[in-house]
Amino acid sequence: MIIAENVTVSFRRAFGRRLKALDGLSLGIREGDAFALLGPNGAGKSTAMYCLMGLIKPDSGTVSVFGKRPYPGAEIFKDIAYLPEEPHYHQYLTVEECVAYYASLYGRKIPRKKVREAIESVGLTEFRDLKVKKCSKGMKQKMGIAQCLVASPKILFLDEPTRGLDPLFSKLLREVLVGLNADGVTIVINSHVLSEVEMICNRAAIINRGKVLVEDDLSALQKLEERIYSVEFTCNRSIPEYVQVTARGRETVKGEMPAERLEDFFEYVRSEGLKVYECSLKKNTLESAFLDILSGEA
Amino acid sequence: MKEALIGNLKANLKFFKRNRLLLALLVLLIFIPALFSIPGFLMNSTGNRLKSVMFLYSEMSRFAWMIGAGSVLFFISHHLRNRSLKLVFTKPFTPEMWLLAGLGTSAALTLLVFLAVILICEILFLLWNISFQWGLLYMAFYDYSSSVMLIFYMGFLAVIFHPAMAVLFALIFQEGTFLFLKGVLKAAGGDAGGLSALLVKGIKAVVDLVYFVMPTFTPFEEHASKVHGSLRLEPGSFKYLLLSVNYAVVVSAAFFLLSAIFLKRKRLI
Repeated sequence: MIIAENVTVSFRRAFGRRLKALDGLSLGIREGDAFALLGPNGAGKSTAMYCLMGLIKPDSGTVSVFGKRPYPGAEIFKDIAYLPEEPHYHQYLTVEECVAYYASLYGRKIPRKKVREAIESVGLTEFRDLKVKKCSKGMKQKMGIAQCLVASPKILFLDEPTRGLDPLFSKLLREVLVGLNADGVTIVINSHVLSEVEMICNRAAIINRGKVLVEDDLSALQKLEERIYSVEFTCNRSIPEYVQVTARGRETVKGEMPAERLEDFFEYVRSEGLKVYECSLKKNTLESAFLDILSGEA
Repeated sequence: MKEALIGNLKANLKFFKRNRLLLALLVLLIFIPALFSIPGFLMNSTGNRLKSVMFLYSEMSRFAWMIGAGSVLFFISHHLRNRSLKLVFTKPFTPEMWLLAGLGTSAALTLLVFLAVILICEILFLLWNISFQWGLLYMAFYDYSSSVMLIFYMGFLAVIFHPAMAVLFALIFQEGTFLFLKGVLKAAGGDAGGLSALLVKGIKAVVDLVYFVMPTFTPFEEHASKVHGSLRLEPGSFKYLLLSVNYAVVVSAAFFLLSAIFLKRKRLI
């Protein structure tokens, strides 16, 4: 559905110098994917997203969306919605006018009722007559989400979607995005919040210095470590030598131990009369995979 | 496309309606006739009163020109600088359509201002028992077509330059400057000899070329000033008006194409 092949983008700097933002970036996003672009600051995630939408013309390489080359205002955008990273909206319009204006650009007659429903779904009903320039960052972000929802897109590009949002709305947004993805909407997210990506996405690409280091299913990136157990149990003076303590709380101890010592561990907690709060195969988090890949590259 | 264009025109009108600087200029436009019509009320002769209306018209039409040029400069610069266009062009709405809608809204706003100018003049005609002068309508049409040309030219400058640079460029690179330079070089060419004569010749060629390429915003000026001086129409007047309008359409279309090309080359992120 979205393919980037060997894309190179460089920005002009002072005295004729050029900064390579993307350096032979290649990735493929399938229909129905919830795809995350991950990477440290300045890795080229936003540039990659701009390229995928045709806002930046690559110096070399090709990008295709729905089998066509994207360019500003192209026909393919009738099925695409985009939430920008920075809330640069039409400041002189009110929230409702702004959502209605962006909806009108799709060239379809979108009834006012649908616009108001989208505003209501993001909890901005009481602020719909407020000018955008007077809205807080979070409200602008919510408005941006509303203008995405009103378009009923097939592809949703989200650049840092939960930036500036309160935890309650972040949770709600996650649920909305998971729901949209379940309905077949392809989602492309650029985010720093890895826990959020874990909950929404099924695939991810880790980018650094304009190159894709890894592109895989999230389940493959977060593979289970079958030889190690993570445990949390009541604090005790003597802790077996095979338990490697990772965190010590006021009442509990967290640690890791080899799978072959599981029977010994249960024997130990039974004999000492301790409570076990957690005992599970260690699961690599996206964060650890992300850090491992980046440190491996360095 | 119709829905998108209407939605865009509505949003553009709201931009102009909520722009305080533009509003201040419009308020000033109301003060000009109020101020300049005072002498007319103190005069008794119809001839003097007619002259007063003509003077008032030229002041107000100059102001209408400024409003047209200023509005498009505000509009394009504001949208390019606040980076909101990436939300417009990630919809099925092309940069050309956005530009056309913006320039069209400015042209419509200027038309409204010119209609207001005609209305004010007509009210003064009625107050002072002067019959309606068709030459005034002719001049308004001529000035409006020039104003549309200026809107498209300023639109082009706003796309490629910072607004302050655009104003500076428009003030320096104009027909009058190069006409003056042509005169200076002609005078200098007569006195110079040897190497300096060659240098003057080279500069003159460049100035002549720029003067030739540079569009005029007052085509067939001598005919227009004749009408403006007396507000009387002559048999051939309309031929020149038609030619002026055609010229305005061609120049505006050329600047529109150039603006669209440059806008599409910009990184709107």
